[in-house]
Order: sequence, then structure tokens, then C-alpha cells
Amino acid sequence: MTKEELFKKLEEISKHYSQEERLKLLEEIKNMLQDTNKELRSVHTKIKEDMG
Amino acid sequence: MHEKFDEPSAQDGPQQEHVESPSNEELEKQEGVLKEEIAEGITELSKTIEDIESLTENEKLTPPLRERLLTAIDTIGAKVQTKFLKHLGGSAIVGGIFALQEYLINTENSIVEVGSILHDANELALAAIGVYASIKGLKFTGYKIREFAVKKGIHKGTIAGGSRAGAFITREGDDADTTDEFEHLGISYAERAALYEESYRIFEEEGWHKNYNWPEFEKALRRVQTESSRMLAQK
Repeated sequence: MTKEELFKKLEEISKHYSQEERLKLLEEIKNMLQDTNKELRSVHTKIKEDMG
Repeated sequence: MHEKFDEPSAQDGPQQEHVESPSNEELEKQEGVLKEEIAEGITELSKTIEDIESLTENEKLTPPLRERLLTAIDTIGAKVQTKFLKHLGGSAIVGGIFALQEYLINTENSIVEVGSILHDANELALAAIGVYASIKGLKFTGYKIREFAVKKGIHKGTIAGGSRAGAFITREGDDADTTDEFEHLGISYAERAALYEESYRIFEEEGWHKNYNWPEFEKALRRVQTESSRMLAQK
């Protein structure tokens, strides 16, 4: 799936939302990705350290 | 990454309290920027996931360390759920998860941890992601996700029903070989055949596969999972 197809799908999902609600959805997904990546990266580093 | 977005400027959108209604053009521009940032976030997350997956395959990862890793990921899953539920309904969650994980799979990145991270967000998505991973040859992913589901106390009928639905979602339906997955859940071939038939009937009845409407999908999936649990309880 290309990036364009991904967003097309997301748009299908959010078609019942207003544009402002859609922006909120996208903002939330963006933040989730950032936070998740940050936390996972931290888990990865910690486990790697413990593995020696 | 992207700390700058945690400190939005005055041009940022409707999430800001003091911003007067932005024009359509501004909103569209904001949407475009957000989409680019999401794409970038997915790429970065994919790399992290790949690194974590390589850890889980490392022989130095002892059972206690492995358990700790999984627990940490589980905790993150709960946080993700809270964030999603804050603004979105169930259908949007399911759809968003599928879109994201499908994207990762098709770019040949692993979804091992994505599935587990997001599993708390919606048990329906979890079940379907499991089979999707299996279909795509990521058996380890499927096992792991299902183990999370069992650990969470989700009935194996629910998981199996969701898996069936996952096969429909991938549009590989009848061709999807999920034998391995069902054996993993301790479901016999005969039970699998019965579940398969019933799931197909429900999806036909709901007509979801014809229009791919998410609310209808969720309704159909609930029915499939309820029926699967009932059938397995009767054995």
C-alpha cells in the first residue's frame, strides 16, 4: 500500500467527520506514532543494555 | 522526534484555543502537513519495530528479559488505547489500525510489535491482525498477537472469529490458509470448518464485503465473534 492509498483509506474511515474533526484525528495519530516510537525506542535501548 | 510539533505555533489549527475559524485553504494545508508527518512517523516506527524484532530473535534474550520486553510493550498499548479513545469511536480505531498495519506489511516491514502495541485499542482489530500476519507469512507475529489476546482473557472463539474476519478483510477469504493459526488456538479442523462456514454466512448476510463500510464491518465482526465463541463453548 502506498502512502497515498493509506491516506485514502483513512479518509474513507473519517468521511463522516468534519474537517476539523479529521484534523484532530490526524493530529492524534501523529502524536500516537511519535510517542509510541519514543517509548519503544527506549524499551529497545534498555533491553539491549540488559542483554549486555 | 518532531518535538517542534509539541509546541504549536499560532498558525496551527483548530486544536488551539485562541485561533479564529481558519479558512478552508488553511485547513487543507494543515491536513497535508499532518499527513506528511504521519507518513514520516510510520517510517520511523517501522525502523524501531524492525530493531525490536531483531532483539526478540536474539538468543541472548532470556525468558525474563523477553517477558519484560513484552510487558513494556503491553503498557504502551494501554496508553495508545487511551489516546485513541479520547477522540475516536470504535470503527475509526479499527479502520485506523488496519490502515497502519497494512501499510507496514506491504512495505515489507514487520508488524510484530505494532500488533501488540495496538491490541488494547480494539480486540476486534487484534484478532484480525493476527490472521493477516499469518497470511502474509509472519507466523511468529500471529502467534505473539494471539498470545496477547489469550493473556488478556479474550475467548479463543472471539479470536478465531476475528481471524476469519481478518481473512475477509485481506480479500483472500477462501484462499487464506489459517490451519496453523487455528491449531495454535487448539481448534480442530472440524471446528475450523464450522466456524468458517458460519463466519462466511454472517458476512454475506451483513453485506460488509460489498461496500467495506467500517460500522457494518464492526457489526458483522461482533456477530462472527459471538457466534464463534458460542459454537466452541458447545463442543
